[in-house]
Amino acid sequence: MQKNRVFVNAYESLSCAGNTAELMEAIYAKKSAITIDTSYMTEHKAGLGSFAPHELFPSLISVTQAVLDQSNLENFNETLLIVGSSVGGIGKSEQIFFRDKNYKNIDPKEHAISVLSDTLDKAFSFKDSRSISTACTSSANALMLAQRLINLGAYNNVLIVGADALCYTTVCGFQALGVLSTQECTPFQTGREGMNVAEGIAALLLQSSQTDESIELCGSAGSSDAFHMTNPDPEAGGAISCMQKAVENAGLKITDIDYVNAHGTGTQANDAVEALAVETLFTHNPPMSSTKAITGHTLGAAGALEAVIACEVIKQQKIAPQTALKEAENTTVNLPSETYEQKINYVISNSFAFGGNNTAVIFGAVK
Amino acid sequence: MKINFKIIAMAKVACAGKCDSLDEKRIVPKMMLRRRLTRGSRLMVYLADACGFSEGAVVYGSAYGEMQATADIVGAIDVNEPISPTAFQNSVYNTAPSYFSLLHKNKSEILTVSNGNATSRNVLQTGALQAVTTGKDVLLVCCEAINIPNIDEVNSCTEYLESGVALTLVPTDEEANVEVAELEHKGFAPSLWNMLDVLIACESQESAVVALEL
Repeated sequence: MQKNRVFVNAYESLSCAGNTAELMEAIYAKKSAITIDTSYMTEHKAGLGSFAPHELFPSLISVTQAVLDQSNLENFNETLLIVGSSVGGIGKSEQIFFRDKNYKNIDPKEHAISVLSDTLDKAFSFKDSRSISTACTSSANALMLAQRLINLGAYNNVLIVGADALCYTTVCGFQALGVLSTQECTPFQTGREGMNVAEGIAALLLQSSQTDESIELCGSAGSSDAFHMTNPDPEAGGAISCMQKAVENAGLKITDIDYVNAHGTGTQANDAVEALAVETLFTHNPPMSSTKAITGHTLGAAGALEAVIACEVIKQQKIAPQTALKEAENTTVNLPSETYEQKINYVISNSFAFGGNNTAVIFGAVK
Repeated sequence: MKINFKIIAMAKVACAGKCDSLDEKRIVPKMMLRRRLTRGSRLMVYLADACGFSEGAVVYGSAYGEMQATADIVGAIDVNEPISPTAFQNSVYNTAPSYFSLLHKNKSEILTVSNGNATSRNVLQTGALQAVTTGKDVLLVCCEAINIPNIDEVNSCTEYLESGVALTLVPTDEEANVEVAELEHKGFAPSLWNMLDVLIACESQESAVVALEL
């Protein structure tokens, strides 16, 4: 069966580094937007990525409106919305519980993941909506589903929104796991301290029709480690499997990949395994970097935010350098220290999550 | 776009409080793994076992996710006590199908849907898409485990505090032979209703084929 091609025709984002234009400027200038914070844990410093003074719900609408304004659509009435989020409305529930010491004033609808799709649907009246919550792969999986739906001809327009805000549960939870960095994170660095929890919103309009500005969503795939709830398979089986299947799904060869936008959280376990996976699979040694050194880890929003970065890397034809890297732990993989121009046809973006949930998405220049 | 699917197996479970008969010792023989399972995970592995499913793509749904883990974390932060790392790792919405993948060494794709009252409708849509994509059996499970202390402060309509429904389906060229009616399933969380509709419609049919929207 002939598959419909999938084009990314409009996108916008908000992270601690600002909007998409500001984010790319920060990435290419190697300027981390992480701040050192004690507001969530008074006895511990943590590097966090906050988009304050912006707030989640108004920003969710303004980022989505920006995508609509860029697009060839008058409204989203014939568009499917797929939201990816790990946290949903828990930040508000926490505040109510800390104040009241009971659940009585918590509205279950505002606590759930669906508060995001409900908010957007109320503002824009989508044809239908779905929401995916697979922790840190949530919006990458949303992209994968959107690709499949458009490939099959079930939809012509799908809006992907990845969104997660900072809250006590995630900041203190990652602290409990012992993986938070007290400073700006240093992905792939020898002796790295850990990750930066962050907040972010990213929206991408995927369509079956091509425009002059299109980037193609060429392929995607998922896998499960079936190894441990939080630690990745040390042999990198799950990570290799999803990247390999994504390349096959895109109809490409391994050597076609020009840049790897790594999951690269800055934790010991993730970065070692991801570097092993990339080293094993991409023997032509394409440049790889983790832009979480700039944005922190935006959890369920990360897949969509890094999809925006992948599209920009292709449009600008400039490799994103690895910020904050002094001495790489894995000396085989190609971690560029500076921004440079290069012919970039295809970018693979990785997302890995609790439960050993792995997703890889491939973007390409339209041919 | 509607495609026809054969329903290969189905199961449901519902308890007003804690479900005591989930056969965990047989289904999860390793004690260390069994001890870590959340209530949602126990419902999930029970339902998957009842459907005879251990390998392949899984689509899981829950409107409220892992309520006990979330309550434990927020409660600990409120009184300035350390958070249990296990509670945090168990707090994500894909906890239950991830334990299922650990139990069976299932390396296939897992997707978790959470969309309020539309959750099981989304599970059916996503499961249908996954079945068309893989061409193989897909397990669909939707669970709610809200049996936590003081849940009555926010719950007034769900009688079954632990409940779940599961279906395994595969795409088919056969004609649909079942009409699915939208019903009100009193006592069940509305997030389960659309899958319960399919289960009820298929219960009386020996080889049920339903048309599902992608």
